[in-house]
Amino acid sequence: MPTLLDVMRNFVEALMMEMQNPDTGIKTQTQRVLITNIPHAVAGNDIFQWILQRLQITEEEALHLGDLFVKYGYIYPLLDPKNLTLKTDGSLYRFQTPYFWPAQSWPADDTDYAIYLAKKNIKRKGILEEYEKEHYNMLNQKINYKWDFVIMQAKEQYKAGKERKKADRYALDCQERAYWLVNRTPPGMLDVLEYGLDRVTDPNEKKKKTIAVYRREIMYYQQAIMKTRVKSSVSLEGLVKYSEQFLSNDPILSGCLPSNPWITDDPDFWDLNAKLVEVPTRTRVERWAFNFNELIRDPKGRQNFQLFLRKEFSGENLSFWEACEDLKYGDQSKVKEKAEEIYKLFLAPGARRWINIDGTTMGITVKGLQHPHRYVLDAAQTHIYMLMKKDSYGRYLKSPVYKEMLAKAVVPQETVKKSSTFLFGRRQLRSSPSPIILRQQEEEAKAREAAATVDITQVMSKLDRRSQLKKEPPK
Amino acid sequence: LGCDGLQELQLLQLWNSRCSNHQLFAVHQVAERVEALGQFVMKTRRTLKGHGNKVLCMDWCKDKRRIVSSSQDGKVIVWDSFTTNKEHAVTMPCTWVMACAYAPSGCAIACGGLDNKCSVYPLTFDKNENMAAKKKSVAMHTNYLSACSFTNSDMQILTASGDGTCALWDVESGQLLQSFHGHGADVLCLDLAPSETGNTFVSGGCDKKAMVWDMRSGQCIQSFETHDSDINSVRYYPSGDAFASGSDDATCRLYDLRADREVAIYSKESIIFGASSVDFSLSGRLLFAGYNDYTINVWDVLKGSRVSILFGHENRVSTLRVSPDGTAFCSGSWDHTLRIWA
Repeated sequence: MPTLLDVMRNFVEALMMEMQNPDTGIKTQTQRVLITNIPHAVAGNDIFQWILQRLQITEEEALHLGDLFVKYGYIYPLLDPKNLTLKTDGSLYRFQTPYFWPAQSWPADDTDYAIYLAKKNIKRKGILEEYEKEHYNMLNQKINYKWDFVIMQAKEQYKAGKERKKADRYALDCQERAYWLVNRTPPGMLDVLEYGLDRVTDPNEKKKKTIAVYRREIMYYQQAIMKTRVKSSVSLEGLVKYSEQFLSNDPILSGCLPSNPWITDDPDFWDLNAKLVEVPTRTRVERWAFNFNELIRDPKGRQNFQLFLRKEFSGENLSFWEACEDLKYGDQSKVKEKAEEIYKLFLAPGARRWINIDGTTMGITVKGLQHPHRYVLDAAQTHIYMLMKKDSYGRYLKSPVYKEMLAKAVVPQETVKKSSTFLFGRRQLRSSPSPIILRQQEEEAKAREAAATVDITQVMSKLDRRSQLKKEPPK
Repeated sequence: LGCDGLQELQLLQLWNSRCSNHQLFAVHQVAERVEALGQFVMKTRRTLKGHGNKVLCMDWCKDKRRIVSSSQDGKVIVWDSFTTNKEHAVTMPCTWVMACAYAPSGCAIACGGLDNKCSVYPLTFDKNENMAAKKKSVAMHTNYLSACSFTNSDMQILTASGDGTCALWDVESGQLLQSFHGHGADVLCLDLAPSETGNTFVSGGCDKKAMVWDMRSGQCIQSFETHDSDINSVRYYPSGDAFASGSDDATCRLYDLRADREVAIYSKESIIFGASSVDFSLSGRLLFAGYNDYTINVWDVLKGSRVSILFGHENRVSTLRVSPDGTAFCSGSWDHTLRIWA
């Protein structure tokens, strides 16, 4: 994963050149360091202002971008070399020479670093910092076979340096130091060139395609041609409409009642919107009318819808749909068992909760059930889903069941964040029961319910059998 | 593949590219009549400190306040991000845990990385139980795990890997239910389609492609190649009719699935670092994107303009997810912290 794409690097490099343009670039100064005059220094504030003007961005952004230029080593601070930040005052910086610009093509070489450290060592014994000494010793072992070459190069460069003008020598020293601060980051400093893991496959490498790949591609294009595409003006209109419809429900854009828990530290919003809360909020109930999916995906909505369906004697539809979801997303090992149960309960002739689907779909489904798999009930599920969506849903929204829920629904009062006095730190934040505990409680409740409920049909069939026995003459 | 086969493929490709000759729109053209968003302010409301190294991934629990996060040093932590308390912690036997996910029940988590696997850990409060003891190894890839997600239940997991494939697994048995081949390089991200739009998911990879898959057949049903570099993140628009992507080419893009094309590019001259992670606000009007230059940019999805830029992290933003009820979003960073913004 590259740090900076070539395109971006070109852009930054172009900006660097623009900054140094004598007419349109940044005003330069000469900085006096000890007894040397260092030319072409620029003030941090001038860099900041230049970026601001050139890119027409906010001050925060301009500062951040300038800061990144320093962190990546395009610009380096003169007097505080290790502090790679952009200061918007008179602090002086210099432009790094293009030779030392960050480049993807040649990462900083171990040999070059060894030469640099050796050179530093020759210049003044004991000048190397702790981490540099560690690197030096490590490199000595790692590239020991080259060490004569390293020392020779270091001596040559040191000699050549001595023959330069003092100002030039100082400049080169600064440039080199800046380069190595970025490419061999000292401990405790941000390593900007760290990019994470290497890709496994180089996408630019031209791989020879196998027959399987070609087959897949042919199949893909064959079905792609068949696909009906919608006019972009139409489908985009759909996206716009969706955003508009849900705008009032978007807490980040429209707020939420009583308040956003993250802002006021008050979790009431979550309590009022609990999964199967006794009385839901008005916003929530109104949302069920947006589209069928919103209703069926909300457990409370589903509960209310089921109430309505029972009144219309089509409660088995929703139950069937729920059973299909359970089959699709459940444990693979239980697929056969579940499919059989669903068949017995919903699809078999005379089934207790027989669902009304057309002959063709029933035929496909029953055939598929001979070799059940996760998606075996897809056709039937889709049919029932569409039935509920296109038929029952409309009536539900006009029904007393829904209207009552809407009327009962609560509209919480808005709570404003109390002015926080941080005398005793943040208000005690309410913790919530872990989902683990909640699930335990739910399972216990279900078990109790199951024990208490009597299945009326089983009782009836028991009574039937008893009366049958009575009729038979005793043997 | 013979000469005829290659010719057939070329003809098909040509035909396919000619298929849509309608007038092409970008979303901002259609959204001209939509009211512009007012000024809005988002701040860091919580900072979660506790990881000792780069945070690589995070996911929300359905309870809207708990999260799971994973890091380069192998630590996976479950937090109640509202109180900032840590509730569970696991140390993986590998480093670079790039993927983690919270189970829909809230009672388990999944994670993986350089171990090439995806493992499921049931969460427990029993102090005597070592969480690692009940660990289930579910997915096995031949290279690093880059992303994972539970489907509609705790029983199935979808994974993406550096080996170039995605796969669907049964958690209980570890059985491979379906594999998805087609990417030409590492797959870096995936997202499941919202419920009504059926059994599909989208994946993004180092081959610059975003691919939409049919979970039943394993076939790729749509493919988009307009980015100039790796796609680090893909996320569906809440209606399921579109998805957004974030890439190393410093842009985010919106793809309309019904029109079968790219319909927006979210970019700025001053944004030169890759986008690592994207997610939509509840209504789909906003796109939050975390970048490798440590910032988070907030885009107006319909107008195509940048609404806000959020500073705070001190290193790359590596992961970003909006909470299940849309009240906030969480960002994780290489600076070892996670932040909740609202």
